Amino acid sequence: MTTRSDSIAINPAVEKITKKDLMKVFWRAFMLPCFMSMDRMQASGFAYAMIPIIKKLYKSKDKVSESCLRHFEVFNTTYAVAPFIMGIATAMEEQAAKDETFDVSMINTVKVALMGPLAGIGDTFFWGTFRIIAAGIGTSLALQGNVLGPILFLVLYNIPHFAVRYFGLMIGYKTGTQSLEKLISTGLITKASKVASVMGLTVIGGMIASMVKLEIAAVFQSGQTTLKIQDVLNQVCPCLLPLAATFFIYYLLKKGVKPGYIMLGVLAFGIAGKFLKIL
Amino acid sequence: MLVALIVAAIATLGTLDSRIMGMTMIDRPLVMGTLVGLALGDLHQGIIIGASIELLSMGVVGIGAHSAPPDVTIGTALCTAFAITSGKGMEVALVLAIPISTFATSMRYLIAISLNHAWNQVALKKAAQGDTKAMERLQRLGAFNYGLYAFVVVFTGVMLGSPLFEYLIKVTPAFIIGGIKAAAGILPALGFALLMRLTLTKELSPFLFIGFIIVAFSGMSSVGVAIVGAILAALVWTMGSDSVKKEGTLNDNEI
Repeated sequence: MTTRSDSIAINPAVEKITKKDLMKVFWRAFMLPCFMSMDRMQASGFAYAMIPIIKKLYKSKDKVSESCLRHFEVFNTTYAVAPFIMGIATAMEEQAAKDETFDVSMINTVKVALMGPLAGIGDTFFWGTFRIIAAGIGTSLALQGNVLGPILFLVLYNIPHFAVRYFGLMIGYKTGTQSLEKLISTGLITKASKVASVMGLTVIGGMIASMVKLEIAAVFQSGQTTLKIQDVLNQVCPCLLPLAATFFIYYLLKKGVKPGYIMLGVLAFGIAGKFLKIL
Repeated sequence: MLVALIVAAIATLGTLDSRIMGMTMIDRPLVMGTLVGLALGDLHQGIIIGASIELLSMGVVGIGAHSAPPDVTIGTALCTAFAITSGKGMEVALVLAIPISTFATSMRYLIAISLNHAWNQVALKKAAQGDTKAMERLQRLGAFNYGLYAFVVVFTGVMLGSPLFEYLIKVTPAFIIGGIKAAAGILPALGFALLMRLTLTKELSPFLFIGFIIVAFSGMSSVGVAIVGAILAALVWTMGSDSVKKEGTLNDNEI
């Protein structure tokens, strides 16, 4: 691996990136998606976050514009993991500023190589796990009209959210390009996202039972004995119908049916069910 | 008029959350409904409507490069306002939330996204000139466009939609309202199914059933299930690491 080699002329005039500079990137990273374009996606946001670094490292106009354009190349990832990539990009830019022979095309190669897999991991963690757990706890309280619901929802989600943003940036900068190689070679990331999915799916399973409401009101009558169908179902397994409904919809989605049509179908089913007094 | 202004301001805050605050989930229906409820003087109903829309839009997320999910931030702000100002029709508001959100998304393309796309071309030129000041200015303008979109759509929506909504509730027969109520109970299943499409694999499906069975038979609270999930995750972590280690030693022996 090529690390900072001392055989090459190093430009000592370049200022060192301090924690203060990194904090500027941290705050600017929040504005990553506020100026999206359809082809370059979050590129302008990435460039915006890198501006303090670029201005500190490069003093000539040519170098500044070169670096600005570099970070204006297509970029798209989960918002919360972007600071990690920015940290790595900062470390690489610093190296490039010091060392004239540094291959600057590497910077974008690394960015592009990272944004895909990190988006996958980020989506699993943030959309599939943290949000589900926070929302599961939040909505169950909120459905009873409890103000704690939305508050807990925000708190539970944002503690890991801000931690990943801050430590991602710092770790990304400190270890540079080596950080990801290290993480991938130990299989830590794949394992971590699997574990996150386990947690997310357990909570989703629980919510199918507690949040989906579907019961049969119809009564089976034969002579003197009446039999509530729902009671029979409950004896087999409570909440069997919500589970069946969820998997049926899941099956339809896999078949490619649009969610909008499924919604209309559910609506028609509800109205027909009430009309025929089944539900 | 005042109501429309307040609700539009809340929706603008929500829309800007994912744009300039890094998506702290203020834009989710649960928080939007709560804020609109608080502002319109019916916190209790706001929270409940927010939570209900949260459930059925659980799988509505913007993942991937060109996904255009229904804008539930705006849908929730509008529907909560309709339900609270009309004093009834919570279930109707729930069912309307997703179609309204979908419509909002198309307005988003018309106003914010196309404007920002055009201005991005300008920013690209400025980047080529190394004009960082202009790039910063344009970046902030981008956020302004999103805010503008949310404000305009919600303000117009409340002004035009409220009378329409009250009329709709008045003319709809009772059995249809009952049917919508039943459907609103089932709709979270759609949200969960959308989520499952995201995370469910054959290998991990037992965990979904563990969660389901625990709640179905014991009625455990969400906090409890989350803790069970964490324990299971820890279990998978430690068990998994054992097998990795074994593989590692095996490989070493081979060498």
